[in-house]
Amino acid sequence: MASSNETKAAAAKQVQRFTGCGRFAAESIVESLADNVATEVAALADCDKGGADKLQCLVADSERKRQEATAKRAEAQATAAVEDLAAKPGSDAQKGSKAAQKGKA
Amino acid sequence: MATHKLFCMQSHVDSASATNVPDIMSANDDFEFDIDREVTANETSPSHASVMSARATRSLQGYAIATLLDLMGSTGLAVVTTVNPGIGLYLQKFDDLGSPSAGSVHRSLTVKSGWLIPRTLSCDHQGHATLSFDVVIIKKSGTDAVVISDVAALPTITISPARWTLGPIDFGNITLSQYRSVEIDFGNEVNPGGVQSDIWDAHIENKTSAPRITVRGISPTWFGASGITIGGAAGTHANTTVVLRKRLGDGSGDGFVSNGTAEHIEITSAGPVTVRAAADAQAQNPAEQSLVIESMKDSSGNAPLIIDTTATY
Repeated sequence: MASSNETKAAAAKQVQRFTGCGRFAAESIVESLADNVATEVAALADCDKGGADKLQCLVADSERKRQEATAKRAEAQATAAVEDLAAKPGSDAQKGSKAAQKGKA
Repeated sequence: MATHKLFCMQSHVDSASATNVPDIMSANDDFEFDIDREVTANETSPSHASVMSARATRSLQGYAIATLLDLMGSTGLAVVTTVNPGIGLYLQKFDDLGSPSAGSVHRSLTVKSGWLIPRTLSCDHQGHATLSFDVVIIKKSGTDAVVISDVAALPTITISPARWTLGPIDFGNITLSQYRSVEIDFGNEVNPGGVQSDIWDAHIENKTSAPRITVRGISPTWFGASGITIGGAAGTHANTTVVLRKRLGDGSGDGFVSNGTAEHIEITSAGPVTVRAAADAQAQNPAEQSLVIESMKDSSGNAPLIIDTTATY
C-alpha cells in the first residue's frame, strides 16, 4: 500500500504538471486538500484524522488495484480474441500457419 | 560609516513556509517614478511637481536553481502576505574595519505584494546553470511597497550550496550531442496595473506564459534526415527533455552527482521543434546550429514546461 506521503508526493507532481506552479506550492495545495478531506472523512467515519488519513490511503490503493485489474482483464480479453480469430478455419493467421507447415514439409 | 553587501533572499509568503535562498549572485531593486513637472504659461521653470506613478521591480540572478524552481515553478508565485513578511532581500552590514557586524543590525528590503517570476534559465558548456528572475512589485496593503528595516537579523541558510550544468538533451525525439548551451525563456508576461489615480499599481496578473527552449551546439546533423528536418518535429513531454546535471560540491569523483541520485533537474516540454540556425558559421570556428521548441500546453492539459527538481537520468 502506498504511504500517505507517497500518495501526496504523487498528487503534488500532478498539480505541478497541470499548473506549472512550483513544488512547494503544489505540496501546500495537496496538504491543504488532504487535510480538508481527512477532516471530512474523520467526521463521516467517526475516527480521528490519523485514521482518516489511513482510510484515504486504503481507498486510493484500492482504486489503483481496481484500475490495474481492469487493465489486466482487458488485455486478457484482447489476447483471447486474437487467439480465437487465429484458430478460426480460413483465417489469415491459420492460412499463414498452414503455409508455414507446408514450407517445412 | 558602514557598508552593506548582498546576503540572501528570503521567500516567506502566506502560502508557504520561509525559504532562505542561498547562492544569489546579483540583485537590483529598480524604481521608476513618473514625475510631472510641466512648465505652465506664467513660469519658466516647473512650479509644481507631482509623482504621477511609481513602479518597482527587483531583478535577481542565482545558482540555487532547484530551490528557486520549487518556489516559483515555470509560471511564478503570487506574493500574498497578510500574515507572513513577504520577499525579503538581506544586505549584510560591515563595520568600518571590514568585518561583518554582529546581531540584528543588517538591512532588509521586503516586498509585501507582487509576483515572483522566472525569466530565463541559461547554461553554457562548462558553466553553471543560472536562473534570472524578478519580483514585480505592487502595493496592496497600507504598508509601503518595499519595507525597509535596519535592525534585521540575517536569516540562517540551511540549503546546501549546489550547482547544475548541462546534462542529456532530447529534442523532438532526437537525442542531441555536441550541444554547448541551453536557454529557457519562460515567456512570462506580467502586467501590473492601478486604479483610482493611486500612485502604485494595485493588481497584477501573469497573463501569458509561453516558454521557449533554445539549444545551441556544433553538430551539423541536428538539421537533416537524422535530426530535425526542414518541416520541424513534434516535441512532446515524452521526447523532449533537458536535464541539468548536478555537480559535486567537493571536487571529488568525476565532478557530478551519480545519475541515479534524485538531485538532478529535468525539464520536459511539448510543442513544435524547429531549426533556427542550420549553420551559424564564422571563419576558423566550428559552425553552430540551434534548435528551438516553442512550448505549448498539450492536448492532455500538461503545462508547457514540466519541471522535476528531484530527477534521475
